[in-house]
Amino acid sequence: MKKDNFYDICNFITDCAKRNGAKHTIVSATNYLSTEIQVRKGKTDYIDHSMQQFIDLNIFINGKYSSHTINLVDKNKLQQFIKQAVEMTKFLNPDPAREITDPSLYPQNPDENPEIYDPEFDSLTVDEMIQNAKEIEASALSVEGDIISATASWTCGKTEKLIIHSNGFEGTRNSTFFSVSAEVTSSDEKNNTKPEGYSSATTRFKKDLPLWDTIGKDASERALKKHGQKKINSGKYALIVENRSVSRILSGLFSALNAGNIYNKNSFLSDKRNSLITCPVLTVTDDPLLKRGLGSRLFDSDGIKSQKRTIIENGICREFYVNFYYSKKTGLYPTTGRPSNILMNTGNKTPEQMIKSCDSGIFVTNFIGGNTNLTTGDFSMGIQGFLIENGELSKPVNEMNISGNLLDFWKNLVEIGNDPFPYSSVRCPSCMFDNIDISGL
Amino acid sequence: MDQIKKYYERFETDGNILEKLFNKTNTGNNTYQDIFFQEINTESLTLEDNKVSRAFSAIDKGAGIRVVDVDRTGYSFTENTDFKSLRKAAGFALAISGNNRTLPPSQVKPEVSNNNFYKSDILWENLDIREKIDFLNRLNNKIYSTDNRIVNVKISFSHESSYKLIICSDGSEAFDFQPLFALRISCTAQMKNKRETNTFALSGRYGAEYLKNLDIDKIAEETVRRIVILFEAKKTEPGEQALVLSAGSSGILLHEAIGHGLEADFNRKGISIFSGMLNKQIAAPFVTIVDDATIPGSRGSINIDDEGTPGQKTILVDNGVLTGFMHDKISAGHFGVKPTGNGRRESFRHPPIPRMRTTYMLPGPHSKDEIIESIKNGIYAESFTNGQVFIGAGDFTFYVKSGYKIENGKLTHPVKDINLIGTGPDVLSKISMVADDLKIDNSTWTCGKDGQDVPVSLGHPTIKVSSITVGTSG
Repeated sequence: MKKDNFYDICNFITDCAKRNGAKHTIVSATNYLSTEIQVRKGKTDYIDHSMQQFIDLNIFINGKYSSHTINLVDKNKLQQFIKQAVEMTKFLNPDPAREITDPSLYPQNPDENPEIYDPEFDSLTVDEMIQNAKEIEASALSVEGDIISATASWTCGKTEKLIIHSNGFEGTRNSTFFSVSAEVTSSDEKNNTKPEGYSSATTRFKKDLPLWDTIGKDASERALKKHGQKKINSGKYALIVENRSVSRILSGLFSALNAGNIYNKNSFLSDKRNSLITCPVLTVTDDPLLKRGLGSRLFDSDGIKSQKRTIIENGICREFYVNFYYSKKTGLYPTTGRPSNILMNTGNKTPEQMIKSCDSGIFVTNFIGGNTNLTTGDFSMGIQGFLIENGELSKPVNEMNISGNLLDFWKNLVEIGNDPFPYSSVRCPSCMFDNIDISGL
Repeated sequence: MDQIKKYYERFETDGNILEKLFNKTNTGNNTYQDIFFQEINTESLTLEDNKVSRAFSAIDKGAGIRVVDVDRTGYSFTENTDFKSLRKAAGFALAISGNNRTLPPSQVKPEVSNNNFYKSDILWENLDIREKIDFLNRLNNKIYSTDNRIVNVKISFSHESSYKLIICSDGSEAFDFQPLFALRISCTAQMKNKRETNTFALSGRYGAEYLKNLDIDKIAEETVRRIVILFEAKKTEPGEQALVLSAGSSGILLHEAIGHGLEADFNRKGISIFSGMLNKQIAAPFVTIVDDATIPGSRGSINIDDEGTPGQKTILVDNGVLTGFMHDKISAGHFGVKPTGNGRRESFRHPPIPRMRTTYMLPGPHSKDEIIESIKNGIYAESFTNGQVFIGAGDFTFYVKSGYKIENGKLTHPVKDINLIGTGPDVLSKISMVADDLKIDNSTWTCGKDGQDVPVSLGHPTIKVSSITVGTSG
């Protein structure tokens, strides 16, 4: 689709759906251009360069709701598809909460600039990406140690989108992302295993990416440091979770704050608004207007105006994630249906200083598998990392589980680091927890 | 041949398309190329709060073009399948080819598939939507009436019809129609102040006539049984314990602990813990593991893979000896073997890579009772949700939603929410008993790799693992 045709197509679909009996519609047209390069052994191992287009249509008819996606822009085919879409909607059971968003929730000035589009995207060439990826791979291979394979990846994408709500809202969302990563496998012959290391960075603007060689080196060092990893005795340990992995344990809390889970009676936080749910040292905000944030947006998928919200304030739960539908179901004020940029407050110490302050514990660098029972808050997940003895990382550990209840776990948070991970929409610093159940030997 | 013409018509193409796209002027004739056309029609219905008040439908159509230079891949897809757009995509995919062109992958003459592993008399999209809505409402009512502790039910029912046409420069040409349905139930029960949620799911490659085979009473009973048992669960001590995996969904152990490590793209790079173990004894002689595309109606079954290779049964571990990997054309070319029909992709937007289909262990010499009786202190794991693996170090996990504690050879009390963690080769070597009760699980297993999700299935007889690390929270 040509971007200039977006209005034509969206208006055509809106009219066609209404003609067939839709009361209200939300229509969007999207173009997505992406390039992915992988380099291995100094050569391009994989290239993918593609353009995609799709149209989303949401139909509301007196409490009946349906959503549809099609990637054909031929008007005859679209007409047939829309007719069928409206027909199927008419057969559904009505639910009065299935309504298009109240116009009072729409943003007044949707053209504000959240800086999520980098014009440099258009001047980035495939040759430049291959060259950069070669540098990343070379830096991974430059680290001394037994490295079997290093793969460097460079991916970028550009999205152009127009959204039209039939009750008076129009918005555009143009964004770019740039992502580099290195994946390294090493050989630990003594233990007959091949530990992996992975490092990556994703940004909205190309110039915010880290230096190429830091990614490659970091991946190799992570792989090599795992040599000799073993499980240790089960017991209660202090835990320092590295910044980039904290989002994994925060995600259980955030899923439980979703009004859909609360309404469907499977959230352990359903009665915890304005109650203490974590240690009071923790404050977490959701900031959709963060400049260059990977989760930044001026409005959400309901068209609701974005605003910064404090989700957890000094350990107290202040807000739930409530989309327009669940606001009708629960009677809660609509906030937004899903997190944008999650920002945790920061402390004073570097992770190294936190490790130094710990006599005995585990520094967690990765979580593996595991799950959370959202209804009860019970969780269990695998960990990899290092044993801390007398303030030093003494040996690599793996094949261990942490488990417990998320409410207890987050109340055991004792210290927050000063190193928020910048390359994610969840920007957490390293965190230290006390008295955590670990199972190993 | 008439059938393939219908696919040509659907995608407005013909059998000479590659020759037209890659002629001598753009120097593509020394590489391997293939083009994959696909149209997927999807629909789903959601029941929430006692009403089927939400529907979804999608049409997704396009073509992916791949150029392979030895074992390096150039890929591009287009949603407009007119010649101009295809030509543009072919040009992007050709960017991979360097100056040192050698032989294309897999020099084996392609086989023609006469497979017919799924039956579909009525297209799902042609079934009156009212029949599907009625089914969901009846199922919802049955679940509520089965146990008065049920406080919430959410059901989604989805189906897709996928049409695929693959034309390759090695002379193979194949097409397939792949139906798939999925039923997912999430249900919450309350007993005094305690609440528990569990899920039940069912999937397979059948046409819409299969809806009448779905036994509402049985599905409701099993859904409710899985939840209410959680109220009786007691915490068990963490650490190393003996483990019994029940027949059926325990196949997730094979999928995570060994399956991914035997996908030959990893082994081509030498990065799997199983690289270099071919023809070595890696498990007890009564352990035989296969990856099978041929089980009628299974979610993991495929008549052809997404490179046109016929779906087949591939033996991975034969009487404890590692005998083979799962190959696509690239890895098969690298190893000089025949492709095994494991080249799969999420859609035309992705290149094919080696993926599992239905992975299971064949029955062994022991009985389920014998296995449970042999254990003094351990866990009997019954239902599972998810897993993950690091294929180099071999670390894998899988999450047990529910099971039982075993004490002195007897199942004593239920347990729940347990993560099990181990390393692949270590756990395989600790499989000390295998029962004769193989069961293929028909849940909605979906495997993720390199950003691509594909439907798979798995299965298992009851087995004993002499020890594994258990993390317990429930």
